[in-house]
Amino acid sequence: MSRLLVKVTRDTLPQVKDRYPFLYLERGRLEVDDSSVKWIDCDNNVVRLPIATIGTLLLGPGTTLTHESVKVLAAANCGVCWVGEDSLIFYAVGQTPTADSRNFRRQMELSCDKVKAVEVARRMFLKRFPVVELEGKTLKEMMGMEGYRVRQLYENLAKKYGVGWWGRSFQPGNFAMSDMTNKILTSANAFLYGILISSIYALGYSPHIGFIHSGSPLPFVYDMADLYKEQLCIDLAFSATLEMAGSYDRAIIEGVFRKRVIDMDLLAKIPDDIEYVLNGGKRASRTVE
Amino acid sequence: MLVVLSNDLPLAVRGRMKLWFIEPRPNVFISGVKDSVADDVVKYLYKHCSVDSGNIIFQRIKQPPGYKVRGIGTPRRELISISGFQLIQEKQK
Repeated sequence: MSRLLVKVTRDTLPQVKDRYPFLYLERGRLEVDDSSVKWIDCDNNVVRLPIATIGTLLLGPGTTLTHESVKVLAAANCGVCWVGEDSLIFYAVGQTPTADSRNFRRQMELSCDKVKAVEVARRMFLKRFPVVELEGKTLKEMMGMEGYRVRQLYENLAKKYGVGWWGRSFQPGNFAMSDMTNKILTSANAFLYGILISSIYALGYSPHIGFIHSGSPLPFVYDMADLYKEQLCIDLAFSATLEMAGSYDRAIIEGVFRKRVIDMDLLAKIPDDIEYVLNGGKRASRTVE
Repeated sequence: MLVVLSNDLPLAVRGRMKLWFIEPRPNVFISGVKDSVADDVVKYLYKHCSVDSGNIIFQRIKQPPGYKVRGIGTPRRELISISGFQLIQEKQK
């Protein structure tokens, strides 16, 4: 029997902002039949996934996927990220080819121009600390101010929620050794990175070209994540610490995090915020040689 | 927007349904009521329909994924939720 092939065109795909943010799948297999992607879990249950309406699939341990399913996922512009189990450490991403490289080109031009790159960084800081005077400050000075403010934020939230706080500690590969608040922060950050990476790729930017962070593998993701961390990750980590009652539960954190993502309409915010930090809110126009 | 598919509705409920719904095919009901009214209609259905009625109710919501599915009775295919996304689970043959 021949396979039913329905050509997926861009105009039939929902925009990033209208998609469901992410699905986390573990211990099962992604396959294709009749052009649709199906998830077969470890108990042999089959769930068909409407992938064109999903932003990203986060694949946990024990997942396999067929070549054909990647093909269909890419055609539907559904991102795929490989993440760890409890800590949801981010391992890798499958890059979806986007329609053109105009946005990436603009990002590169801004990044290569030292003056413009600092302007972008300043707009990023201004989004987080709108009342601070940043005019004429160097990147190093702004980063110093940010570090102080973030430490204060941690302490204020620790007081607000009545949680003991001994500072941020993140030990890659040693999730279990962290305290509860740090564990939740690490998990929520990994979730946020997954969503941002797939959105950044879907919008045609590169996660590798940053303006504040540098040297790390995904500097632009870390730059953008800082805009949302206070509301999405830091507040969540302190508010949820007492609810966990000493025993870390990934499902609860995932649920609370997802609710916050949907409530703040994160996927609609990301394209506008990138546009603002890179271009000051003006739409980038196609550059003609 | 509300769409209700049912197996067997009590006659009184079926009559009352026509206040909000059109029935383009037997036991397929469609309505364009707003969210606040839709919630009340769904509450009414839950109150007055037995398990035998086998209703499945689709409601449009503003947040992603844009729909909410609820059922009255035992459906043939199980309604599950993965990461808060409502999906249908089938058994592999």
